[in-house]
Amino acid sequence: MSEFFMSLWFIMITLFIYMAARKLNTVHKALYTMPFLTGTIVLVMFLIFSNTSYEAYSLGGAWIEFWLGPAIVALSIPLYEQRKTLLKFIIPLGVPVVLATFLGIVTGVSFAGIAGLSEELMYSILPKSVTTPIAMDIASILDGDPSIAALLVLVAGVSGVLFADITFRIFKIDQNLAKGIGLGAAAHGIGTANAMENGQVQGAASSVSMTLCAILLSIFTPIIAFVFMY
Amino acid sequence: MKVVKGFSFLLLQLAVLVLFYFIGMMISSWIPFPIPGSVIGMLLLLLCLQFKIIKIQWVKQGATLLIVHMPLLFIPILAGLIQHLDLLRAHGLTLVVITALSTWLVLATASLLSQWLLKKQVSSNE
Repeated sequence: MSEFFMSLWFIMITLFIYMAARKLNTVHKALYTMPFLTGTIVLVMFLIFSNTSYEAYSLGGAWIEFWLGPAIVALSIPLYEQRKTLLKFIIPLGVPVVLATFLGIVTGVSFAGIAGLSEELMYSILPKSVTTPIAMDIASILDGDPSIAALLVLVAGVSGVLFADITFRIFKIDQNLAKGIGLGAAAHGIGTANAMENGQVQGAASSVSMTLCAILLSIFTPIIAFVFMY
Repeated sequence: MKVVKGFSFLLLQLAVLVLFYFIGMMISSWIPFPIPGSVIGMLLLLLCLQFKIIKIQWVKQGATLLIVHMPLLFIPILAGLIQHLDLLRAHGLTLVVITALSTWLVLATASLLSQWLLKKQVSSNE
């Protein structure tokens, strides 16, 4: 098979798996039926059983991955639409977002250091709180591993949503705006999807907080890395 | 005919987003700090929207499509984990525990601080 048809074949397979996973998620909505979770599992099983190497699959996979870049650019639209909320609540939104970004880096890296993990893993943990495509870019810049980073972003998203209700109850957090900001800063897209189900204010706050954290992290990390590496 | 028109409109919108991505990548290669090109593209588009150089209707549909179907874009990446099974077997649990713990700290701190600041803002307005 020529490379062209092979790429096309892998693109079709991935699209098909994704559509099936989406269907499952609409029929049975739960954290464990999120399309990228079930979709990844099915795709990995397909690769193993068809004896396809990931390298060969990447011929097609790269065409899908490419769209992550434009998808990040697209995040400017919700941010633009929420600009009034952002400006009105600039202090209760901005201050926690800055602190959360640093806290996420510092705790992730220092826990990894305590656990004695390699530098590659440490840098793959660092961007876990921001949305997948940006986390992967940051992990690559720091010489971490993009796939591991993507996995840990997923873990952060799921665990953030699982902890949310009980944490809000323990700390008596009743403001929807504050809940949204916490979810967006800790659990990025998965947290935002969850926040949107709890109403517009929470969803909007989470979406703004997620995008701001991602922008902050992608500006600060390379500068910090630049200072330490040179 | 209407379908064709709608589809080419969508493609055009996607092309605008790709263009901003490419410009972002270009700028990213010029500056000394490796800030992801996608983020630079996002900020540029935000500026263009703010200064009315680009109308939101020109990109909204394409942007929504990409955002709604973002999970599709993650699947090929996550499948890359297949190359790291040994590493995950050795350190997977540690990675998950560290990530969950750090996530919880971020969640609690951000929402607590935000609520406190919000109440301060509301009471100072009264």
